[in-house]
Amino acid sequence: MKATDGATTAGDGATRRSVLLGVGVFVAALLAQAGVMLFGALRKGQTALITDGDGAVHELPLNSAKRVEITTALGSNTVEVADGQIRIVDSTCKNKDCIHQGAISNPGQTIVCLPNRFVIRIKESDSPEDNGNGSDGNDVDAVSG
Amino acid sequence: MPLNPTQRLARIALLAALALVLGYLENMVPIPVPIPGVRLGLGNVCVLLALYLLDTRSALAVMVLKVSISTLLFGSPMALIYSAAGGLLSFGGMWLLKRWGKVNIVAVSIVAAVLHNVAQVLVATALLATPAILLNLPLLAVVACATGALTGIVAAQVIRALSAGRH
Amino acid sequence: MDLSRRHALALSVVGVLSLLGGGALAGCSRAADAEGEPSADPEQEPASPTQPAELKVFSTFLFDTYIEIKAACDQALLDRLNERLIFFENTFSRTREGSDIFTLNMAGGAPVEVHEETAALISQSLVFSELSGGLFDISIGAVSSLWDFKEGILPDATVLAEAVTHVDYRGIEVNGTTITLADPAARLDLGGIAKGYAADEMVRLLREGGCESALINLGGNVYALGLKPDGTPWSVGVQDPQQPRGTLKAVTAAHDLSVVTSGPYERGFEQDGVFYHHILDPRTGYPVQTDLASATIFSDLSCEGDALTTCCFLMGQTAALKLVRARPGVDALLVDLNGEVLMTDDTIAELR
Repeated sequence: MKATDGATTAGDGATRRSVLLGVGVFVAALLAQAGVMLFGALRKGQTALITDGDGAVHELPLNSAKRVEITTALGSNTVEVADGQIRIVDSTCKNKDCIHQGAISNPGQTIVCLPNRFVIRIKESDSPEDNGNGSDGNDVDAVSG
Repeated sequence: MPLNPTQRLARIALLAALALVLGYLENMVPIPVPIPGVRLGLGNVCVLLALYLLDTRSALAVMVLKVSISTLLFGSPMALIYSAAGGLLSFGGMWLLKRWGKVNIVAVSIVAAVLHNVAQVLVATALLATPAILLNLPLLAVVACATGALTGIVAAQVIRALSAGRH
Repeated sequence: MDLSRRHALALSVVGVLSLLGGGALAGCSRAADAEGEPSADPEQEPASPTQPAELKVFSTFLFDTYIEIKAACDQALLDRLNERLIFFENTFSRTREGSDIFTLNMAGGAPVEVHEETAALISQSLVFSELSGGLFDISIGAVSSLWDFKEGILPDATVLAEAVTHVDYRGIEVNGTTITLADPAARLDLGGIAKGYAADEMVRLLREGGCESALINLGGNVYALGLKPDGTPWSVGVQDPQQPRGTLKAVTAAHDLSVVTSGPYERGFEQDGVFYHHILDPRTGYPVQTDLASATIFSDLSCEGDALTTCCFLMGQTAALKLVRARPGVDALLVDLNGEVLMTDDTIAELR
């Protein structure tokens, strides 16, 4: 059985070219992935609509990390935006259900702090393919319970 | 020493069978990477071996057999379209690089693995009419570089072992 | 042509043939899929031109909970729904002065003229009280008013024991729109069914208004009206009773279906290492001890779901399954204390 040239006993030139080709493909893929992630972070960021205890609505884009405290007569909630997700990190409410619920990021999902009448909901976007296709396994229209 | 036709036929059948078994084993062992579509692609070792130890036509036969029989045995009709596209494009890439002859088998394997993903993503994009699927390609390609290198090294070791046994 | 070439060709032919075989299979299954579709279409055809494809979202806090309605309809209809919800709140509330229930509870046994809706809701409730042998009982008010699950107030045991003696649905008399409580100290609390009733009324109003696609969520009482505007069923999750809010135990594809879930996790407080939850046992006045962590009811009517989840929860697993299996068109998903799931129909929901 003959081992064709270039298979195992390639010369220095072939090895160098092979490494170059392999590394080149790898770096190109990495760069493309970096581009996708950058592009995604810039564009695909959802928007959270926050309704506070006074009924005022705040819009909060999820594409940049931030921490916001919203206080009304009913109480105070602190929300944190990071990695395109939003969560309540602090609340003056009694049971802290809203904090325990964790982060949401998919259109239509909500976090409700009942005592403070504080609601975060992710805005449904205009392009349907962005809606409800979350990969965190929570892509439902409503939760019973 | 050139192979006689029967030997060659036996080798094709052997490699195709091996590819099927490797593909089956691969399906049974989940890869701990949370990205859909990532596979080790061990079956491609057999196509590489056929390409380097036999000839182009035999390698193509191994690839076609691998794709078609594994679809019949394990896959769905939809999976056939994906694996056929992946198989054909990666085979084309391997064949061209091998003919060029200026890079080694590991590089050929890396390119093959990446092209396999390229074809699958393109088919998915076309079938589902969802261009957003293309965004998955770079990450798949990054992983494919690793799996391709691995399968390429395996193939190189097999070839070395076989030729060592000959001397 | 040499032998090897012939063999390679032969092998390729085998491969190509099997490819064609696979292709033929693909064609078959697609054809089969397509055959099922047209029969379903004509029914939806006439309504679709008038139906706006866009979902409007409406949300509010009423019934002490968060309410969200997504509906493919115009704003005027949503405004009507809102008016109706406010009317229910003002009529059924136990604590709101001037409500039917408030007046009835303060009447000291005198007959009280109430709204048609109140009489209808009380009559409905009595049906479920009969069905459950008194486990579901809207005269629980004397007991439930002693508890405060928001502030975490544990009532005095002797006061509670006295209050339990005033819980008896058989003392509620409905005569047209005149309600009389036989026991002057009896108190009604519609908290266990009012949300369900309200959800059913929302569905009725939406249908009357020509809306064919809506999702009504009254604090976890979910009703899926029709299909989504894109023609697929609504996807309704069932909260995992043992995990933080938003973690799902199961998911159901809902189409004209009510999904109601009850469990201790919804509301309660801990005191001296004991968890006191909001599902009260009318026999003891205390939160019920049961072998269930939550009960979910799938039904056509949300008020039935509301009442039955409470019944199931109070009865425990075995009796609950028996009760639900005996009711046509109703299914249950019960989660026990180990997190195991029991369904009366395994196809009703997909476990997560």
